[in-house]
Amino acid sequence: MSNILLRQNVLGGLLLVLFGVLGLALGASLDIGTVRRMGPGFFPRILSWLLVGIGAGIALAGARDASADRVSAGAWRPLAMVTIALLCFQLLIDRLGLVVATIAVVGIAALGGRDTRWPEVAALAGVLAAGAALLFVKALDLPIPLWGR
Amino acid sequence: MDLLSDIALGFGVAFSPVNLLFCFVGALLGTLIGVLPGIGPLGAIAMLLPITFQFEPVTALIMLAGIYYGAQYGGSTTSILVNLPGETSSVVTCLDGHQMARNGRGGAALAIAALGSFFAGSVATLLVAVASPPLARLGTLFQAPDYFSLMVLGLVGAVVLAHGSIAKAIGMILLGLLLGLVGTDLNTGRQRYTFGIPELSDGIGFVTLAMGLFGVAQVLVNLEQHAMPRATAIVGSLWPSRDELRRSVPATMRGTAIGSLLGVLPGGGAILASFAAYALEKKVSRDPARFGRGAVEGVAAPESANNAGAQTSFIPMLTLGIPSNALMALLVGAMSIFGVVPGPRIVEEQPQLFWGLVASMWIGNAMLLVINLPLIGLWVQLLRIPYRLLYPLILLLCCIGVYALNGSALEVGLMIGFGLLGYALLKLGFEPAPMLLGFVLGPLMEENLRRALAVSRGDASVFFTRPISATLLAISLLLLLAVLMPKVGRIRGDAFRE
Amino acid sequence: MRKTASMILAAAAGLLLAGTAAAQDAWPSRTITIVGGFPTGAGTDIYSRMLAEPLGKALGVSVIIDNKSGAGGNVGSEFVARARPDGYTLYFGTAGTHAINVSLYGKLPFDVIRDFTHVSILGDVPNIMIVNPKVMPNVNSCADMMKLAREKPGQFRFASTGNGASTHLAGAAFTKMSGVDIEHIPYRGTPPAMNAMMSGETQVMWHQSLTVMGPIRQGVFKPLAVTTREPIAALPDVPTVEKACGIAGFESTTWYGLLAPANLPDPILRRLNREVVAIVSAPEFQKRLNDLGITPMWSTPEEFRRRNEADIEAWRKVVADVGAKLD
Repeated sequence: MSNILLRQNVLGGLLLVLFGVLGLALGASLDIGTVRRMGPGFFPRILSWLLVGIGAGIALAGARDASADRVSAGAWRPLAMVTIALLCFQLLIDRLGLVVATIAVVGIAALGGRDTRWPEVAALAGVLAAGAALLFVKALDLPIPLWGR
Repeated sequence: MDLLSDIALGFGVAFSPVNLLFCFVGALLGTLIGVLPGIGPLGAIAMLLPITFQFEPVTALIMLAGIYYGAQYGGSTTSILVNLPGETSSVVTCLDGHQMARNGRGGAALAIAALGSFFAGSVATLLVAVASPPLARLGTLFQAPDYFSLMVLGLVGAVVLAHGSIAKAIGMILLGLLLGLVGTDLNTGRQRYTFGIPELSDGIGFVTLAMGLFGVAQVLVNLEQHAMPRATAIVGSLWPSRDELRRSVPATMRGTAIGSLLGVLPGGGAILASFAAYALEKKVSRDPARFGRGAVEGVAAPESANNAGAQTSFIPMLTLGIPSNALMALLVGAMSIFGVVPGPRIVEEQPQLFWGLVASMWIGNAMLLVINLPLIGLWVQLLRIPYRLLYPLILLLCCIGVYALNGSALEVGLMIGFGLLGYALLKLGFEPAPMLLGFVLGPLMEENLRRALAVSRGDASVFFTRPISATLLAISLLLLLAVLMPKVGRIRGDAFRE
Repeated sequence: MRKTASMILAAAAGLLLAGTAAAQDAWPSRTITIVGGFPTGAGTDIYSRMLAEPLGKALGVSVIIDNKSGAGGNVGSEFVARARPDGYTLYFGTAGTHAINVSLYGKLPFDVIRDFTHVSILGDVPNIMIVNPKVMPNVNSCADMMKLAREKPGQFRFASTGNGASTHLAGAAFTKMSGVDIEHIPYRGTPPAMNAMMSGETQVMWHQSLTVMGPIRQGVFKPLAVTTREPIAALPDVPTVEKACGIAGFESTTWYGLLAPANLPDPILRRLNREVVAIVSAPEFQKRLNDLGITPMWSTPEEFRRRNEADIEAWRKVVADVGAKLD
């Protein structure tokens, strides 16, 4: 069973079906209207159904095809570290400002790489934080908080 | 001939030391800012606008135009080097441009982009000089049914864009269409898929989506494969090979033609230019399988189309005073601060302004060549930075670019979501490009469909009775058949495989 | 020992007092941000940039513009409503964001009066009723337009820049009060709406003065009427809707104004008001505004707040009459 599920097309097709179902569920309250006077729900409804249809088709074809490609193994560390790093930026930028957020992103993202050399990462974080502050805030006058609002 | 004396007047104005200097400065600043991911021409101009207030109107406009082209080209640089499109039009350049960089041909890609842009810019500037009125009129012919049919053609073209399974491409387009609908419904004011979040009420930002889907996702894929991209290696010379140059010429010319025409159309027209040029190249190519793997035509055509469109999009603004998109609206606003009023009479009333601007368009393009060709060496060297140092920089720039758009940390969160989605899609063998196209075209398509029906009072025949609309729909049908025909003969299972 | 302690205490108290006093007097000591609720290039952006430069000079600091567009200005409004009232975050508001949106949207996550400090009103922006002379060659006055529309009901359409925008409400109020049947077709913003006017997809529009002054001067559009009580300086020969169309009491304009988060310290408020009034009332500045079609205005903070409160009521009626509603 898991063998079939791991085929690209099966998972991919199911993903599309998921989006279609979400589209239908979240858009259920939208008025469809008529073909002549389409309401806000008309297009979303059609698109969602089409997604479900195509997704199902792709998944079925993938399930039947024994020689289909399988999803290549993922690497958890880079995925997790990059995600956490970016989340840190999102959470820190307004509270602690650009400098801290930059250091956080660079430092944590570096954990996702292979040969991290810590002196290097520290230097990189420092340089990027200073550079970003100089370029974006001082030089370009962009409304980015340096040290938090 | 009158035209020659006008052009002479224009060059006289544009070649003044002050104007030349600020054209250069504008192009340089625009390029540097455009290189920053997320900040496209609109952002660059908005940022640098205050600086121009102290100048004479002609000088200020020349500088603003320089910034515009610079930022446009700068966006291509990041598309090629690190797969980060700053603007809608740069997305297509990512497809083959970045692949060329991964193949070690990054320098060549950048050079072709620069040369193609210059050629396109020159031709388009000539068009602005001699054919503004008729081209402007072309732009005003389009009504809702015509726009709708244009979008349909665009979406059919998106299927051509894909180099994998057709069904998966259609799936991506549909997903993009659905994502494009997030926001406020124009006709009724109802919120669709916004979860009550005010930042979403005007829809998902293109930059947010692109940064996540292309930039972040690419980093995730690269890290997973421990594939430190071979862009660190430079294969051959920095300059395009004779073969690459030879292939680029017809692509550049076709791209220029498409871009020049579509650029005059307000809104949807310009966005389509690069997509259409790419799709056309792929269709006429003898070996379409090369596309998506680093085909130089896949860089030459969209880049030329972009730049040609960027020039001709000035036409409605200059000849009618009507802005055709947000950027032109900004320039009109800037002009009004300077007390300059664009419109039909501007050629007679302020000839030195009009012709000076036209001349500086060409000079600006030349400046870009002068600035960017030497920079290619620098950029490619930048790529040789070990990836372990490069990717945190890329991620940081994505974050800052997205945050700085609206000062909203929420957008960064959205970008993360799209990054994960893009990563999942790449692993599942989907291509993000058709999704992006669907995202951009979808809302326009729906809007114009409903508007066309409202204006015609429910009469759907209007799509076939209006000549422009009918022509576009016919071409769409032919294109669709051309794409699907070869597949019909195959076994159904095959059609879903790559 | 006790003497030293009390000396230290006194010194500390003195420093503390001096510190707080200095902190208040020290405004402004860093960059001030004027937040806008609409994208770069919009009318609010243009005016705020015109204001930022002289204001920065007068205050001795850099004044930058930060546009947070979305939800008809609500994104920007909410941001400022929640910002600290330290005088470094200001808001370039409009009648749209502060008088109309309350009635247009079901509920807002902030209170337009209580969550803001009103600094000064900045100008009145009329809407101008325009037609494209190439599309409607025989229409030379509002009366002509109304006659045509009455003869062929349902044949004509007016463009707006979005549901609930002043371009929509002005037109909707017009059709309602005059009884003429002109259908509303919304577009996303100025560029597509203007193009619809050029292509003839729509025949008439009530556009804000700023963006159409250029095309009007160039003859691309013909102005039929202005939605103010009196003709505007930029178009002295164009009659008001009230007179030209025979609709008694018709007025549909929106204002621009400068605001700050609630509880802005009084000294800062007074200083801001003083500087802004000085800038806007200067003859050179007034001329530039008039050329753009904006009627210059300035006021005390109290006058501005009262005007805002009155307008909320006035627009509530219009929005209810027209039936406009946004989620």
